[in-house]
Amino acid sequence: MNKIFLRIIVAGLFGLTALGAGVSTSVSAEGESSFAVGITQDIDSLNVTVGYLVIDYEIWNLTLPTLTSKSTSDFSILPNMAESWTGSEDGLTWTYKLRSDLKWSDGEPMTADDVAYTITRAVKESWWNHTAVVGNLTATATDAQTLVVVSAVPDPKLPILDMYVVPKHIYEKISAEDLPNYLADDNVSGGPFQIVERKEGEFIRLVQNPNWFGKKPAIDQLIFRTFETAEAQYNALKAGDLDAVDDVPGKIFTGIAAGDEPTITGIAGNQGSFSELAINSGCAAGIGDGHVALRDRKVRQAINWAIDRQLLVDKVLNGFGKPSFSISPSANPAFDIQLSASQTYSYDPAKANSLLDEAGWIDTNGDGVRDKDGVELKLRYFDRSVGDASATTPFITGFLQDVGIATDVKTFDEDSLTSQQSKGEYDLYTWGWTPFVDPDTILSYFTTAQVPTDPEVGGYNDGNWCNAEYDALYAKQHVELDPVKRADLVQQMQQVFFNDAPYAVLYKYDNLQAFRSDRWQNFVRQPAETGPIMFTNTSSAYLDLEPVSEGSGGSGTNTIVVVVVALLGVGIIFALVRSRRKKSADDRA
Amino acid sequence: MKDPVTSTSPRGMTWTRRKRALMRVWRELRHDRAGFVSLLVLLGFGLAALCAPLIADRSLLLAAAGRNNPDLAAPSAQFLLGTDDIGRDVLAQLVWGSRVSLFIGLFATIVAVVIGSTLGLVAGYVKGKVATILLAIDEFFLVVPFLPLAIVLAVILGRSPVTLAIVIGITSWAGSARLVRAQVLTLSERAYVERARALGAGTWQIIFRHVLPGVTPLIIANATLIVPGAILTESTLSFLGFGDRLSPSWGKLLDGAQSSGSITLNAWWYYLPPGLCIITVVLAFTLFGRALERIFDPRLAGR
Amino acid sequence: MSNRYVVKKIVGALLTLFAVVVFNFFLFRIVDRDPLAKYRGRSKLTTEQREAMIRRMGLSGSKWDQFVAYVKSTSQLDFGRSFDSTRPVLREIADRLPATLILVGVSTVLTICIGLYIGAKAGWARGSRFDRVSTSTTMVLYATPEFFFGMLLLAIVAGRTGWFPTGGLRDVGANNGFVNSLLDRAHHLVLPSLTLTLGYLGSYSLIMRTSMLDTLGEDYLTTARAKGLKESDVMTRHAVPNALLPSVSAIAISFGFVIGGAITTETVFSYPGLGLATADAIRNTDLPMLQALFLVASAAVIFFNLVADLAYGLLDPRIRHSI
Repeated sequence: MNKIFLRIIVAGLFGLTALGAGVSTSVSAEGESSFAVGITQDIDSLNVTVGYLVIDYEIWNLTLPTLTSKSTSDFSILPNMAESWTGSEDGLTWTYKLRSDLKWSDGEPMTADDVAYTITRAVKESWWNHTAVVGNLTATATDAQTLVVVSAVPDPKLPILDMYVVPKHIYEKISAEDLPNYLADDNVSGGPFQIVERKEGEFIRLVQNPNWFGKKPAIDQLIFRTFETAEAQYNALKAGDLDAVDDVPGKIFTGIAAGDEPTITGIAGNQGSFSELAINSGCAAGIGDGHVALRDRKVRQAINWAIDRQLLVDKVLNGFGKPSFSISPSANPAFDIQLSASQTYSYDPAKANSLLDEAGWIDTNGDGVRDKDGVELKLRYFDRSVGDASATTPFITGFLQDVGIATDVKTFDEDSLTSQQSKGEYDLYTWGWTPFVDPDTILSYFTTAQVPTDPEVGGYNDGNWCNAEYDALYAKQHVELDPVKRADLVQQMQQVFFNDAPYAVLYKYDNLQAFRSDRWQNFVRQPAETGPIMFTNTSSAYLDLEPVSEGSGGSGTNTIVVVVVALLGVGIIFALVRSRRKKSADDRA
Repeated sequence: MKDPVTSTSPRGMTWTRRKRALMRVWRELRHDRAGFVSLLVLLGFGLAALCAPLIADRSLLLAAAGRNNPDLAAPSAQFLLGTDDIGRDVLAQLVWGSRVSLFIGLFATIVAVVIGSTLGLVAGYVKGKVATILLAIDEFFLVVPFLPLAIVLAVILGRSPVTLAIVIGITSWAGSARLVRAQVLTLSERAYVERARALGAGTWQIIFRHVLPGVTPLIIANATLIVPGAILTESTLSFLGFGDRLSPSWGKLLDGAQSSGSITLNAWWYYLPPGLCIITVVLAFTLFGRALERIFDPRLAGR
Repeated sequence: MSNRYVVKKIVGALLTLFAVVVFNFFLFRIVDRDPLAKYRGRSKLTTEQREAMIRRMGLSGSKWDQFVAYVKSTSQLDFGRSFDSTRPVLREIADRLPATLILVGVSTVLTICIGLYIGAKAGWARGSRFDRVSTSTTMVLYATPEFFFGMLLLAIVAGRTGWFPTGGLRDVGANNGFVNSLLDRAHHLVLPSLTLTLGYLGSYSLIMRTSMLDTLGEDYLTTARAKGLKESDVMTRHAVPNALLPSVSAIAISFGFVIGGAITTETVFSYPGLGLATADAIRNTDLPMLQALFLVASAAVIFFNLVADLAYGLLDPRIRHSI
C-alpha cells in the first residue's frame, strides 16, 4: 500500500476544491444577467391539465399567455393578448380584439384560434385548471385577431377570462387519452420566457422569449433551483448562488426583517393563503365513514373554540400571519369577510367544553375522552409528509386533548390524502388553500356539487359539507355582474361558512421571500404593499426588476480562500512526507 | 435450607459455577478501565432515563408548553439547555427522549438477538439442509439495504415505539446468526455435548440446556454491539421524519433542530446535546461490548 | 481459483438477487397506496382510461399473474412510471445514478484508503500512541450518526460564505466550459463526501485493525523477519495483504450501510442522487420508484459481495489452490 500515493490523492482533492471555490464563485457570464430563485418544492407537472402546485403556476405565468392580465396593485384588468374588448348589452357576449403581432416562441403565429381551441377543448375534456373559468363558455375565432365568447349565463369572471392559452399547433396532435400523460416538454412558449433546460428535482432554466409581445425583462436567464430545505436555499442565497428565495425559515426571516443582513431584503407578502383543519361534516349526500359527532354543528364549533390560533401564529408562523376564521376567497383582500370582535373564535376552551356538553358528549368513564351512547370521541387526524403541516399537529392535537377529544394521528403523502378525502374516510385533516383573484372558483369548492360521491372522481369539498343556503348564495353570485352586490353576496357566503364551521380555519400565512438587494431592485408586490413579489397571481415581478449597478463580487475574498486552502494542502503533503522519512530513520535504530 | 455454596445437587453446582463465573466477569470488568467506565456511563444514562419525571415534568413536552417562553433561547438559569424553536425546554426533551432512544435501542436489540441467536443455534447444531436455508435467509437480510427496508416496514406497520423497535430489530439481526453458528459448531464437538447426546437427550434439550449456556457470553457480547447500531438506526429514522410522531427522541430533536434552521442561527444548544448524547451512549455500549468480548474470550485480550 | 468456485459464487449471487425480486414484489403490495391517487378529482379519467392505466402498471389480474408480469418487466428493466412525476422510473434512476455513484465512489475510495491505512498501522503498532489516539478517534467517529457530521460541517461552513456550497449538485449558471463545471461539481462534492467518509471511516478502520491483530501472530511473519526483512517491509509486504483478506468481505457487507448513509447525507446536503430520491419516494409513497430503488441498492450490495468473494478467492492462496 503506497502511502505517498494516498496522501497525494487527499492533497489533490484539497487542491481541486480550492480551485473549484475560486472558479465557481468568480464565474459570471459577461453581459448576460441571470436570476436564480430557490424553491423547496419541485414542479409536479408542467402539463396544465394535471399540475396543481404553486411552482407550476409560476412557470405557466411565464410561458403561457393569457387573454388579459391583471394589475399588480389591485388586480384590475389589463390588456395582454387582447388589446381591447367589448361586451354585449346583456353581458353574455364578449368580443376581444387581439394584437396583430402575436407569435409563439417557435415562430408560429398566435391567434384567436389558439384561444378558441383552448376554451373549447377545456370545456369538452373538463380541464380542471380551466373549467371553473370556461365551463359556461363557447368561443369562436371569427378571424385571426377576433375572438367571440358567449356565456350561457351572466358571468362576472368575464371579461378577464383568466385562463392559460395553449398552442393549438402542438396540442391538436395530442389525443384526449394521451393528454394526462403528456409531459409538456415541447418548450413552446407564449410568455416572456421560454424553457430551455429542465432537470427534475434540480432546476428548470428559462431564457427570454424573443417573440414575447410584452415588456422586455431586464434578465436574460431565469433559473428555479430546487432545494431540499428552506435553510439550505437560504444559505445559498447568502453565499450568492441564488438571487432570491421563496420560503425563508421563520426565525431566519425575523433576523432579516430586523436588518441583520445588509445584502438581503425580506418581504412578507400575503395573497390570501390560509391553512385549515378540515372537518368531515358528514353531508348526507356524501360517502365515507366520518365520525358521527362531527355531523353536529355544535361539535364543529367547539373544535373552533378549542384552538388557540394566536399561539399557532406566534409559534408556527413566527408571527408572520394572522388568525383567520373563515375562508379567504380571493388574493384581493377586498373580498375578505369583516367579522366583528364578538364574532371571531377566540381561544376559549371553556366555551368549547360547554358546547360539547350540550351536544351530549360527556366523559362518562373518566378516561379523559368524551363519549356518548358508547361511542368514544376519538377522531382520526391526518397530516401530510411534506410542508410544515406537521408543525401544527402537536399543537392542535394538544388543544383537542384539553377539551376531551382524543386523536389518532396518521401521516400521508399528498396524493394518498386526496384519495382518503375522495372516499370520505377521514375525520380531521390539515391542509391549505391559496385563492385565485376571482372568488368564484374557490367558493365553488364548498358547494354540495363538490362533495365526493364517487371515490374515483372525488371532489374539492373536503369538509364534506352541504348547506342549501350556501349553495343558493353561490348560484346568485355566480351570475351577479354588479361588483358591489356581488361582494355583499360573497360576504354572506363567508358568514354562512363561519356559522356552520365545516372547517376550523387556522390562519392566513405570509409568504416569506428574500432577495439580494445588493444585486437587484424594483421588486413589485402584488397586491400593492401587502403582497409577495414572487409566486404571485401574474408573476410580473420578473418583468420589472432591474439590476443594481454592477459591482464585481468578492473576488478578493475568494482569492484569499484559494490561497489559504492551497497552502494548507501543500503544508499537509510536506508534513506527511517529513514524518515518513522520520519514521524510516527510527526503524533503522 | 441448604447452603447454596456447598450444595452438591446438580442444580446447586450449576448455580455455584455460574455465580463464580459472574464474579470473575465482574472482577475482570473492574480492571478493564474502558469497559468499567462505559458501564458507569450507561448506568448513568439509564438512571437519568428512569428518573425523567423527577427531572422534568411530562407536560413540558407538549407543544403548547412553550407558550410563554422565548423561542430558540440560549441556555440560562431557567432553561439549562435553552429552548427549542417553539419555546419548549430542551433539557426536558433530551431527558424524556433518552427513554425513547434507549428503550427502542434495547428492545430492538432483544428482537434482533432472539431472531439471530435462534437461527444461529439451530443452523449450527442441526446442520444440513436446514442450516443452508437459514444461512441463506441470513445472507439475504445482510444484502437487503436496511434503511429503506426499515422505513418501508415502519410505514406499513405503524410508528409506535414498540413497532419501531421490532422493525429495527428485524433489520439488525443479520450477521449475528453467522457468529452464533460458528461458536455452536465449535461447542457441539465438545465432550459434554457428546455425553448428553449419548445419554439420549433430545435435540432441543441439548440446544437449550447445553449449547446455549456456552454460547450465551458470545450472544451477550454481540448484543451489546448491536445496541449501538439499533440506537443509530432509530436516530436516523427519526431524523428523516419516519419515527414516532408525538414523542421526543434524540433523532427527532436533531430533525427539529435542522428543520427550524438552528444550524444557520447558531442555536448549538438544540443540536449539540442530542448528537453528543447519541455519540456517548453508542460509544459506551461499543466499549462495554468489546470489554465483555475480551473477558469472555481470552484470545481477544489485548485489543 | 477454479471455474467451479466462480460459477458457484455467481449462481449464488443470482439466486440472492432473485430472492430480492420476490421479496420486493410482496413487500410493496402490502403497502396501502392508491396508484391513481394523483388523478383523483383533478383529471377526469374515464373508466377505460383508468383500467388501461391499472393494467399498464401491472396491477390487474391475480396475484400470480401480477408476479409473473412483474418479473418479466423487471428483467426487461421496465420499472413502470413514478407515481409522483409520472415519468418512467428507469429514466428517473438513470438521471440520478451518476451523482450518487460519484459521491459514494469518492467517499468509499477515501474511506478505504484512509481507513485501511489507519487500521493497519494501528494494529501493527498496537499500544503505541498512534494506536491509542487513532483507535479512540475512530471509535468516536463510528459512534456518530453520519448525518450529524453533515450538520456539524454545515454549522462550521454556514455563514462563512464562499468556502463551500451548502447544498446541491452544481451551480446552474456556471455552464461555461467543461473544466469549470467539473471543478464546480467537485466543489459541491466536498462536504457531502467528507460527511460520508467520516461516517464510515470508523468501522472500516476498526475492521482492518482487528484483522491486522489477528494476523500478527502468524508464522509467516516470523519467517519474514528471520529472513532479515525490514519491519516496515514485513508490514507492507506480508502483514497487510493477509490482513486485507478478511477485511474485504467485511467491507463488502458494510457497503450496504454506506447506501443507507447516502440517504441521510444527500438529504442534509440536498444532493440530488438516489439517496435523496429514496427519501422522497418514501415520503410520497411512490411505490414503483421504491421498488426499483430497493432493487438497485440490493443489486449493488450483491454485486460488491460477489466481487469481494471472487477477489477473496483470487487472493487467498488456500482457496486459489483448492476446489
